[in-house]
Amino acid sequence: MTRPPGFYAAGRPRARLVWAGAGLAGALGLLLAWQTELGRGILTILAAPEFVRAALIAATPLLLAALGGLISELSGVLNMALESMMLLGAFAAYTASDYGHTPWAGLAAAGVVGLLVGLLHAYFTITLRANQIVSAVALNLFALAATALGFRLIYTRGVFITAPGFAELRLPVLSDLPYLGKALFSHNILIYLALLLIPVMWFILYRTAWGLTLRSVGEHPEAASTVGINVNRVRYLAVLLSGAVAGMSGSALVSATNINAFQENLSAGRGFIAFAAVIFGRWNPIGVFFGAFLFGLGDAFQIRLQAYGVGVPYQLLLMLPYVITLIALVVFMRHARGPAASGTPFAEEGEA
Amino acid sequence: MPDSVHDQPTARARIWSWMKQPLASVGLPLLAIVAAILLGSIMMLLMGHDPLKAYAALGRGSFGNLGATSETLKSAIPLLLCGLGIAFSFQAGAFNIGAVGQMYLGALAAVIVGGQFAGLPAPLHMTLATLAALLAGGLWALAPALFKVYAGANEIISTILLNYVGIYLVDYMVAGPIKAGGANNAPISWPVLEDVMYPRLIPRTQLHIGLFIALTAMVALYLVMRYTTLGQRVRVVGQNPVAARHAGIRADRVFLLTFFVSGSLAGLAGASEILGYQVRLISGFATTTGYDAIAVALLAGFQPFLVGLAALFFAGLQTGAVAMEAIAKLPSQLVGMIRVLAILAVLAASSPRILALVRRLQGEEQP
Repeated sequence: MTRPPGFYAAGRPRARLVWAGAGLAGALGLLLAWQTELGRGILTILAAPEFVRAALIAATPLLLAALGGLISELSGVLNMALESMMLLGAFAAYTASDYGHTPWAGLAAAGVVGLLVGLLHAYFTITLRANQIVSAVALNLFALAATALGFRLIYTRGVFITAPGFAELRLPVLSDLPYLGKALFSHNILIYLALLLIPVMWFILYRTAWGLTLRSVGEHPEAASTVGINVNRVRYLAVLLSGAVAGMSGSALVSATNINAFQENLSAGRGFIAFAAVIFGRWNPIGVFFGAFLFGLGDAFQIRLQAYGVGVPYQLLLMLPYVITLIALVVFMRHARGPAASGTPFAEEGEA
Repeated sequence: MPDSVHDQPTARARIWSWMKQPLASVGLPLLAIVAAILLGSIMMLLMGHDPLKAYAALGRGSFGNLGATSETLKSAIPLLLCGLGIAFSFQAGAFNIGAVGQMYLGALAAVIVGGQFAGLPAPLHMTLATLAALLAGGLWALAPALFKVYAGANEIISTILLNYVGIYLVDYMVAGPIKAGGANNAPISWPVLEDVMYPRLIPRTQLHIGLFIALTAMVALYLVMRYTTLGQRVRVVGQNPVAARHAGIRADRVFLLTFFVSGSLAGLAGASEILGYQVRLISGFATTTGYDAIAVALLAGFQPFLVGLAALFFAGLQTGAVAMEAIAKLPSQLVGMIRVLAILAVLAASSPRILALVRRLQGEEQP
């Protein structure tokens, strides 16, 4: 596209003006909202540390699933099977922590189950070269059916059993900070681990040789193959790892229920929202966190509005996180560019 | 249509090459069903049950007598309608996963139009209610298609998100604006007027003329795909959007159209549930049908007539499961596993790798 001379020069101050205008309008809106009782109530909700705290709890399963999805997508394999990994992971986490009497058994089981689902996805899409989207759709249906059957077989009594959950870890000193202490530094261990995974993933992807190999396979598999990289082996490893991380999101999902319980279709589309978070995050671990956090904020806000009783029917409030994700998708997707070879199977030369 | 990362031409081409194989389209689904039934038997044996007894109960419960058969046919109607829509959109490389929401919106429109406007002539009223559902489903599907074409938003994600929005919208409507009057406090809509209901095909059963609507849609879709330029365009766009552009086909228009048609069929499924036998709209009236229909379309390799067979198979499992649970004391969720095993078997058997292998073996037999 040709742009008129001076386009960028003219564009930037204008954008700054727009941002300033938006900021001013926002501040004015806040001021006006403060004048009404309802607005004051909502602003009080938003300002409470519990709000950010709840958002972070709701965002953690999405964060783990999205980080898992990221690994796979960077290697060139679309992972829309995140939903199945999360759901099967959640069931495994619940059952194993119930029978093993520790949430760590649940976390391990969730990782292993996720890995196995990843193996299936890898086998279908890499070895058999089946369509990556169709394979994911089939695996998601598989997860729904398998967890429904498993839950029915193991928990026939139909009573709500609470599995042991992760203990809350109050970080010394930090948890005594005024607002931040409650919002960020008194969570269960899994949440810290998930957050820790962000810099770890960033380092692996952008500062190690294996990360470079992974990304090259996703960008240009032919070139990677020419320099002696076994494309399909890298992809297998990436999808397996992706499954293990995404499976652990199930453990976070179970602990995010507050009562550490499982029910049919517990994930309720969150795996797809995690997939969307990868796109908002522009295929970058830090961006992915913000994508997941956005949904967490929507979820926490919705629950608080219900409790506050704003006069909006709760069914419409329940829509909120999905609508927010949809709007974000429509707004941010336009210029989103993922790995170039994402979605395309790779066949070595001479292979049928 | 912007070339997003998520719909590379090759991915579409692969689905197409998969569908084109006659082996994949006819023989494989049957083979996969047999494999799934065998795997299901192994699971039953592991759980300490007699598979023969279980399958006998399943068969009797689904096709054993007139009542059971008509019940199975009745359950096949929404699966067939949604499955046809999904097959159509997938063939164009437009991944519409939103049949659940589109079906909900169709049912909502049917119950609103069908429960109001008393005094209209019955056939006209029935037609209007059906058309309203068709339009509602189609428009609900058009939204994500527009998001895709004008903003590049991945259609799979937006259709799934809209499923939840649609479900909550219906939950809200049946608890408020269209709630039944009277003392009853349950979230349930007003009833559809009696003469708007579809006529029954067999007395004392719930089988209704929705079956003919679904079968007509099946034949129509087959004819469109096979004999019209529209069908040709849909296939070309699904196969290779770049080639389609060079051939002067407006891929974005085809994309919007397939989404609209696909959603309309799901909307019709919603109408046929309400106007066929449910009378009132209840929250959670069909939470899984739209997803099951994806499985139906996958199992059928997106071929209209095979979608019919697959819908019948799924409906049979669904009605038979109740009998299986009652007689053979097996959890009804087991049939869900048999279904997904069939899908996974189809997926594996129709993958490019296996097809290439089969071709090579055939080539060696006939030098």
